Amino acid sequence: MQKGTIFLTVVALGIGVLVWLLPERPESNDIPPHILLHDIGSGTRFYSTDQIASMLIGRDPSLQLIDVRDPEAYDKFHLPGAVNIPLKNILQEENIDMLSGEEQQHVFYSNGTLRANQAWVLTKRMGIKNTFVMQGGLNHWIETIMNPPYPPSSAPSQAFDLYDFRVAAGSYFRGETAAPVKKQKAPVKVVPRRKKKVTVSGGC
Amino acid sequence: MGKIHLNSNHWAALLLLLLVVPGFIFSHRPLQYYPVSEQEILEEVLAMKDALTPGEVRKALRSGDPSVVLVDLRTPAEYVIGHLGGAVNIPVFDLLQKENLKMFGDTTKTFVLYADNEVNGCGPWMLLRQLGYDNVKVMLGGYDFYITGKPMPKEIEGKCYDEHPRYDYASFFKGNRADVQPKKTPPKVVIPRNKKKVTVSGGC
Repeated sequence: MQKGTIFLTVVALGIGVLVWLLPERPESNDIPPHILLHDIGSGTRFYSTDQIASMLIGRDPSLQLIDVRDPEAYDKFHLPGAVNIPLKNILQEENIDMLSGEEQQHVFYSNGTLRANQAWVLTKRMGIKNTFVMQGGLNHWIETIMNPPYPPSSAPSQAFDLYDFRVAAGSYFRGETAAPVKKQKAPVKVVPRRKKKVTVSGGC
Repeated sequence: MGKIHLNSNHWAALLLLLLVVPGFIFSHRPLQYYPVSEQEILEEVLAMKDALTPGEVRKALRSGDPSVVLVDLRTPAEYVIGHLGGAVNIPVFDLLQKENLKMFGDTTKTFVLYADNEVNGCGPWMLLRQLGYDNVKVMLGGYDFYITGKPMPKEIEGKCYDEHPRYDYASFFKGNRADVQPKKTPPKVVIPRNKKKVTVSGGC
């Protein structure tokens, strides 16, 4: 064997040992600031309330709504299918694990846009891809879906189509989110069977 | 021991081992993009102590404090149409340009960011905070709210304007629950059957 080859082998092994001895670097998936800035400046993270409503009605399995408000507010009212991750708990490990799941689109919402947007900035920085924001939050949800304004008569026909959709969606969600009505089973009335009166019948 | 003879192939291999391999290991990712951790940012975001109300900004403008610099994040066109007194225009996408970062690095000054609304102001503010600029604040309500001249409603003073629940969400569902409830089936009217009159029947 050539001495040169042996020398190189020794060098390669040396580098291998060095790499092995290197201190483990903290694993971080943070994205570079300029990419984060671009995402912040562009509106691609937003879903409109109409889009969310139509996805909910279609029972889109890829949609996962996330309510970032306090548990009390969540218990009082939340959109169908939403899970509650209060903003202050968003960095907990199990929540980050859940949000990093790539098969679903995680859409944050709050009363307005701000808190949901803050949750989004934090998760985006950490390199989580599938997070979005419902624009306008619940305030806008009420204004568009539950209580849509009637378009002026000069509006294009699309506006009327949208209005019709919203009215229909509103009535759907009123049914969907109403507290489940407990079905009271009417007590079964036991109708006593009448005993057949034995009539005296003369036999033949 | 003879001298180690390296031919050109060996030199190339040595170069690869010594330069390219460590290069790959170390250039994978810069050590850290953000000097401030997510947890610290989350705490600041929850406390909202860097958020100024339009009233506080107005007061600072009136006092003519030269250490307060307003930063308009909107487009140049919007800026030309109207902006707050003494504001400099930095469109969102230019935020991380070198000369702008140099400006934010001036620790003797306080920079107050604003955009058209507080959501668009908050994202860039969070980004700069994460990059370690702690002399940057954000104006609540944004420009659109500021120019209305209205004071912030008492109940949301200091909190976010956008996040104030404008409706009692649950009530939208309560009021309409009646039409959701399943129709009560009218109680069945039991028509008492007439008793068959038993006739005494004689035999054949």
